[in-house]
Amino acid sequence: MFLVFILFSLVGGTLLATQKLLNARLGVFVGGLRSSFINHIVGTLFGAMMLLVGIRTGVFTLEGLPYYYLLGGCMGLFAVALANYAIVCIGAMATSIAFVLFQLLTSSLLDHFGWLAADAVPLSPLRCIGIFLVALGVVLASTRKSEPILHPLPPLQDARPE
Amino acid sequence: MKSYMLPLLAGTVSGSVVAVMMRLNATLGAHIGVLESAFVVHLAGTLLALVVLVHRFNREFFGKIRKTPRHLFSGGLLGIGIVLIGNITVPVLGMVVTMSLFITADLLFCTTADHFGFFGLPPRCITRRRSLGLLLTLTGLILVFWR
Repeated sequence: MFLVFILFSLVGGTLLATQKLLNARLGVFVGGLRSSFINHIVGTLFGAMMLLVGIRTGVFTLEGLPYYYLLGGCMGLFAVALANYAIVCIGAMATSIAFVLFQLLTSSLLDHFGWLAADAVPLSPLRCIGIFLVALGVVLASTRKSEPILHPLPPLQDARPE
Repeated sequence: MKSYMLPLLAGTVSGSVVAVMMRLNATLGAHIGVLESAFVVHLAGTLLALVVLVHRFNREFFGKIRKTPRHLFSGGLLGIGIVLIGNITVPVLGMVVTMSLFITADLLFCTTADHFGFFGLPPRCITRRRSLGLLLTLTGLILVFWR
């Protein structure tokens, strides 16, 4: 039974990667920020549909909701746009490793000082070593040496034959 | 400045932003439910985009949209699907295990997609150097999530 949930998580991670790649490809066609906009509007509509169908995970109220929670979505818009730009330039793998590195660094920092959360988790030496290894991984994965020359992306008019 | 520095910077900034965002969203999700918070967050992003991009919704943009293959619009659907999967697995496996599995699967799929050039993105082959980088990253992840 446990294995099923592990499988679920792995599928979730694959979907995460697919989402990034699809958005990056869409960004080639319509521009990074507008690709992010399309991602968000489709997500909004689909989420609304799920809620209307009756799938609930909690009690939905907007009452007493501090305005700065809406900031999360505003950040997400630019995060997706930046990732779209990076994936096209240096590839999804290097982008994801750099992304993970700074995600870990920032969450460790937030944990260490207890910002945005109730309890502080001090930075352990093991965690520092781990982050250092990820940083080495970024250097190895992103600096291009002996990498094939990129062939140009197919132009827009070839994308969907009429 | 090398050609990969600017995209790399974009990737790192994106990671930092998402780390802060996940904190905010986790608190919001605990208050009103995970799917509901995903809806609110996507709605906020859409509204901001409408404001920022208001002068860019011209004929050219809609012309481009008409020419774009439809399956590329499904990124948002996957986003909601990911939230639902997380909602199923986090109570059983815990946040840390779920996140490390997500990141591992994400990195492995990105490497595969890069190698074969999935979705028409430019392919980047798996070299010895890059696979070493991936290996170091996965080792580092295990150490970070050890406790």
